Amino acid sequence: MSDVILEVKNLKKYFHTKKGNVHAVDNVSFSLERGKTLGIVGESGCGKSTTGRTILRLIEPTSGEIHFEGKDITRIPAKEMTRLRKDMQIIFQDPFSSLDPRMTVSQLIAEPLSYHKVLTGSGRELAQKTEELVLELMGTVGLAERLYNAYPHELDGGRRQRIGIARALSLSPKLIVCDEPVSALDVSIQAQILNLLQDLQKERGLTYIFITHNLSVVNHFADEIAVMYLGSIVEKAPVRELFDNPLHPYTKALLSAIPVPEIHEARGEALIQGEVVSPINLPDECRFCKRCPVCSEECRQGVPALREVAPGHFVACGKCS
Amino acid sequence: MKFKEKNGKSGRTNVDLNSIREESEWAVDAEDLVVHYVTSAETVEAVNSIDLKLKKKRTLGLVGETGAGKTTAMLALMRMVPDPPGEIVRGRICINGLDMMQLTPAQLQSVRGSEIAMIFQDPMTSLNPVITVGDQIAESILLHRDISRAEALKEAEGILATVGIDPRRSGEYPHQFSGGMRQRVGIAIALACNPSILIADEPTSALDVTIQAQILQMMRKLKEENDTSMILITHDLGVVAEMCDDVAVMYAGRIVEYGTLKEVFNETKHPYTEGLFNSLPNIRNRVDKLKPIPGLMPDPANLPAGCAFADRCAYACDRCRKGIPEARAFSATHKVACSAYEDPDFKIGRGQ
Repeated sequence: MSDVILEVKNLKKYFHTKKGNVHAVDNVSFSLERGKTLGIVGESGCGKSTTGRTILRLIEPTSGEIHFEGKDITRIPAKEMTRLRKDMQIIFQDPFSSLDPRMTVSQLIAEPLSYHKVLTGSGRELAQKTEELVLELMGTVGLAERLYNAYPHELDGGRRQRIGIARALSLSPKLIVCDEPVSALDVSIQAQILNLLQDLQKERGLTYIFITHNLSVVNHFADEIAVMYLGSIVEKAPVRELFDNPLHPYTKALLSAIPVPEIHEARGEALIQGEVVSPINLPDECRFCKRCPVCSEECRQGVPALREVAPGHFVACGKCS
Repeated sequence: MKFKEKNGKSGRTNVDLNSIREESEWAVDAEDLVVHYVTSAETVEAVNSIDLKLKKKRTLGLVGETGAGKTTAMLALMRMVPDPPGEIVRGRICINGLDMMQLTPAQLQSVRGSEIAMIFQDPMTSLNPVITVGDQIAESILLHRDISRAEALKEAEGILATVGIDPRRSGEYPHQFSGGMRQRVGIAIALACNPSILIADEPTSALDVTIQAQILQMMRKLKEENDTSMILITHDLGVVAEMCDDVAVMYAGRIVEYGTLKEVFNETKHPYTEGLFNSLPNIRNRVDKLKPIPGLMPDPANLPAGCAFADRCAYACDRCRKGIPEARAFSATHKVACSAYEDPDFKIGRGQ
């Protein structure tokens, strides 16, 4: 039997606004095995970050179910959820705004430890233990000991992101949601952080949900990829399958839009024109209709459901069979 | 702008540039350019003696990490380095045959915008939030040409149409546009006076890939239509492969490798360029593990005595830490600043 750590069923998150309901997450379902990485890919505003946060219940879902290690955590009380968050952590996108500028590196890394009372002891003994653990964590993520009392503004983006990773790791979680952890970093630093995350996964058997807009990053990293568009998953497949045999027109467009660092023939017209439409009060038709190059009348007859077209390969498109 | 019109002045500068222009085959020709930021505490050596030549109608990609001095070098070309603390210590800058170091402020203003213009990186902050986009485009037209505001606004609408925005939206404010649309407005402002040289500072880094593809495609088309020469600052080697004819790789304020696209991509010579390629996840070539460049770029306020890349370089030896490497020519167009090539048998790993 496969060891499923997380199962999400028909997850929905609507935000109420004056103009109507924003369908940020609309009927998202997936399951994730322990030790694997699921990449969630899509453009800004497709609901990928909201999905990540709703799974941790940092945002309360509108409806749907989230099962973590077989337990339905959708409606458990806040106190219990807090305890559970020791097992479910998140690494945020922007290492410049996600750290308190008035806390030192050591305080930042020690904060989750004291909040969750991971270490026990009194006074001095506790301080000693905390310091040891913080230094150990700093070593794990590759932060030099001399930075123990440094403030975030003294550090570059890569080092700040390492603090974020150390904070997430400090509670020895089982699942980490990585919300665009490398988007704000330079390529050479990006590769350092990606390798660090990969090593940690191997050492500790971590499970990742890796949220990104950069398909070439998940190509390197993920076992399975879910492509999101306007709050819904439009295609989901194992990573090789998705890259070799993309079916949904949106996935194809995303793949073809990535600039490849090799000399090649000039690219033709961009496959999709226009921008993501507003996710407010969506009509009852395929979400991608307005930008789709192959859209026809039948696509306007309701939202297509996710269907399995090959083992493990799901796609929500009336045109793909 | 309304104020200026009321007083019968458009703020336009009447400058004759052609009398001081020299014949030149280069759109941009900078030599030995040195730019420092001087503060009481330290001197930041942002640009250290770079030579930059751009032929007319070509696109040069300027590649490097944050803090490599790319943007400072480009600001220096336009004489726009904020002074103080910035200071162009020495160097010669020729734009379309005009010696930028000798021009008066009025002459500079007339060159900027009409001969050389810049597209800024962040479309969220580079536009004025309280002026309509039409007025922002008209502003640069009014600065350079003697026409009325109404005519300028009419032209602004035409420019909006060429960058793919409905001209009817010219009365809207920047917050009403998405990121991609705002970058189109930024491009429209740069194009307003039809400059022959365009500097694009990471024009698509803040955008989604699908929107990036649209913007790059549009820039390519406009460049061909108007015979523009372009310098494209980017850290994305994929964008370079798509857009550029020539490539200059910058590291710690110096150009370490310079050549045609083919030379830099297929006959990579500098270890830093190799490192950049290795640390990039390539969608066509999945590797088990990326090979990042270890460490960080040195602090530009405290550069080492020898090659600035030596501490991160896999091929570094004693010689690298002694003197700053001289640029070595491998072909008429391909120059590399790496001391390791003093050994005639030296080769780097990439491409073998």
